[in-house]
Amino acid sequence: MHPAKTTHCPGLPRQPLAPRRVDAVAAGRLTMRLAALLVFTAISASAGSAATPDHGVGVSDEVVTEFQQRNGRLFENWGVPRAVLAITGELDGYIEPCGCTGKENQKGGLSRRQNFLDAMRTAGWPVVAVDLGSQVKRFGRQAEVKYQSIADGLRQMGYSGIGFGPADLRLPAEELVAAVASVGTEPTPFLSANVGLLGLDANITPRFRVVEIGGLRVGITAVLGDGKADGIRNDAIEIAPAESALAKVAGLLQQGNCDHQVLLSWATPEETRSLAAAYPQFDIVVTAGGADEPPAQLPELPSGGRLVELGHKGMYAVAVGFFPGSDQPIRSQRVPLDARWGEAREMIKLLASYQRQLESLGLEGLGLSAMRHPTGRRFAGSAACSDCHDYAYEVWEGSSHAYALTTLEEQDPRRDGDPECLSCHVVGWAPQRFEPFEGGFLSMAKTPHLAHNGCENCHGPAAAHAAVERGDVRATQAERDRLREELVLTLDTPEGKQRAVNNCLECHDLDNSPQFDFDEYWPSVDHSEDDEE
Amino acid sequence: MKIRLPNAWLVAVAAALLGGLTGVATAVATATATPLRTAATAAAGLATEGPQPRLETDATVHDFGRVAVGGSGSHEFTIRNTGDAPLVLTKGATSCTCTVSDFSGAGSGDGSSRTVPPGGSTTVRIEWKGKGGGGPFRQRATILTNDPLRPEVAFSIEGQVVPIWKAEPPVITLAGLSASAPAEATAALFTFGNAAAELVDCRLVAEQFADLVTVSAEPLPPAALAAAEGATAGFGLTLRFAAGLPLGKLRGDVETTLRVDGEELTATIPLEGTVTGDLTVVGQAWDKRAKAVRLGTVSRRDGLATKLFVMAKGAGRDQVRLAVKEVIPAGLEVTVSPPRPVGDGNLIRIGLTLSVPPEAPTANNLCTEAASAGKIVLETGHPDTPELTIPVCVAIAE
Repeated sequence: MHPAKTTHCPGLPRQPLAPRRVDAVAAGRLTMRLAALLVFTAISASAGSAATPDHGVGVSDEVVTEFQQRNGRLFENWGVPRAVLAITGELDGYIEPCGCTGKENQKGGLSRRQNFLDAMRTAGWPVVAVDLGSQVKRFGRQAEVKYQSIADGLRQMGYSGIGFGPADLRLPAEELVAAVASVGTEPTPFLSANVGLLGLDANITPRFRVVEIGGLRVGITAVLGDGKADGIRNDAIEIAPAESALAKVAGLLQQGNCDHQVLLSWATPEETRSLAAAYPQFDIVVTAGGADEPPAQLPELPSGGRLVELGHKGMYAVAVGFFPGSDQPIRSQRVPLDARWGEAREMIKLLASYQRQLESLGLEGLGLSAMRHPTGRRFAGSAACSDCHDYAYEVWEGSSHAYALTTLEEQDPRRDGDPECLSCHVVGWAPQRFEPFEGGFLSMAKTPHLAHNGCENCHGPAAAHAAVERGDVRATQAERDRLREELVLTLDTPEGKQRAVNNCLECHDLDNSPQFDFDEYWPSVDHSEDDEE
Repeated sequence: MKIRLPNAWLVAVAAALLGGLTGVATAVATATATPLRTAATAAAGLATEGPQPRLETDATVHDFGRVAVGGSGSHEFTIRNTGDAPLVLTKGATSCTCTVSDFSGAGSGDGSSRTVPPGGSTTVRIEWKGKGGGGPFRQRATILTNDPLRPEVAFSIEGQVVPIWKAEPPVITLAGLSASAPAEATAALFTFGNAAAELVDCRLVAEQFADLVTVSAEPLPPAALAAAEGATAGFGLTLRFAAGLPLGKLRGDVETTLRVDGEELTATIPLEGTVTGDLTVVGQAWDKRAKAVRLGTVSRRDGLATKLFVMAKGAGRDQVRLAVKEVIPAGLEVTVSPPRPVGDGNLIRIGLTLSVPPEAPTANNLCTEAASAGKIVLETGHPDTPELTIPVCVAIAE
């Protein structure tokens, strides 16, 4: 029986609604409504007790706990801020961490950075993200492609203010403008009070920005310090003196009724402090030129504002939480971008796109041309050494050096088209210049015998020596001895050992192998001739 | 039995209120009933009742002042147990160049852990090495404890790592030099020996263009040394480039031989840059690889307004005056702005505004096999390049 549908007829007195009978349909409706009640309750309960954003989604408890113990816990006693300022900078080209020490043991990278920002947003924290600048460190086509990729990544992450570092401003103007300019109606997040791409009056980037977040108005501007501007030789960029440029912007920001004002100062800490003293309206002042790691607490400026150092290589972010009306209206947290944050799919895609661009450009497209080896000699490949030095070759084959290129191929995304990686994973490249020597590795197709980190990277190019020993080339005994002697490395003298150590440090540098100690590492690759059977 | 079913909206509102109250109550209960760092204390098996250890230290930050690159140092921090239960200390994580040496003093344990009795104290020695290229240094070493109020304490070592020499900038970079005009670049080289360094020689090593560059070095005045804290000598390097540099990449090294504290060393400052033509196009829509402007498909109903810039440098830059000679497709309008100098005036900027009005005829110049590229042809007034043609990839649709 269907429930009676009651209608009201004009002119007739309203009759009370007749109660409806319970039947199967109504029971179903009741069940659905009770289920909806439970779902709403669960969702609301979750929102009411939102988790602290101290790790990335999908990261195991084991990893989170390990890195909390290694690098500290985050946001303790914070509660939910009214808004949070997430500050990054000095990425210096370290778009993601890598190195023979293992990615999980290193900090930094855009992927973890995105997950850090997303964790705060998911926790319901209103976030405004700003970056000091210095996305790249080097010059050349790879740096240009990297800068564009990083700029795209920062836009994807929703940054509201991004400054310029000196190395960024050494890139060609056309690359900077293409990466930085507004796209369609979307305004550019890049800004500067005193740096103008193609001139300050070209207005490629604004001088400042005011952002509304969590009911707070946050003013943001950036400057390049005078000491840093002096070293930039780029006619397409106009750089005004920092203090006079800031004077103009500071006045405009004061009119913006901002609750907080942020100064991104790419300058020495001394110059930054001087600017902060001249313009005490900035309560959050970010400086370059600090140590590798940021301090645990933000030092207070004489004006009462806070000075933020970010460390180097983008290993850390700093979160500044605003808690107006509380006994601690500003709180800060140094955030190590370690493995607890996991990897963000969008940034992995961006990195893959970056690697594909490098691969498609190739060495020639990247402007890399082989340079003469300091010795003038050419390379033979490690297999050529095995004819005579079978023990040494056997030790090498069992070491990580012998599959160095494979580790690049197996990365996700793969890195075997990236000169900054190739330079230490193949034979015949200048490790710290990321360029091939004449006769060095070009590709697996052209030079497979030079794959992996082989003998000649330490002992020097050995093509002539191998040819003489094989009898391919006739030589006097003196010449034969000379060619042998050129390739000898000894640990028996201090000078000899230092030469060997310097060879190792070309690749086992602070960036990629921070724990390297020659005496600890040597036993795993010891192939001394005396040990040969 | 007859049951009156509630309205669905009432159910939703009631559910939200109930859930919100539940959530808040849960959060408050969790915050008040659960001790601080419960997860850490639970993981460490720390007791939260009865006699407790209490960790105290005088300082957790040590400023070592200055250490040379490659040098090392150490400092001892004292940890006291002011509680009434044994304090157990374990070595935790360290920053990359820090190591924590053994504990020493009162207490028992092996090298990686220490148990300090109530009222006792111990010291932990932190060692560090000055690695890298010099500059501010800050590293941490963490000690894990069974003090429920301080399950870990981080000791920080700070100071300055001083290199033997330092260049500012560390790499001399010259982007977009003109082939037709001379140019100059400078750098400063600082040394940090015990006494002032002596300049032996300064030269540019560059295969292709060294004969077009002169390098000179002069001692910096004492006031200029303040730019590098602790520098005992400094030299200003000047590179003068003659006109006629080859187009393309510049690459070389500025090698300066110095005698520092009786030892001769060579400071190498890389030089890199590009030499480009005197007229270049810049803009968000400019595709540098294809050397064309990419505008895509533009709806004439929505229109288009985008900006390009023609940059003029070199000897003839002040003579450049752009005038539109031809535009394909006809529906693309180009407006030229007056030239404006950038910065010191070594570069002149001329804006081009590209627009598509509502009445523009449709066209297809999308730079495909089926649709050839459009173009903007400009008369320039430049003595060497009187005409500039800019390929344009665009389609104008309804």
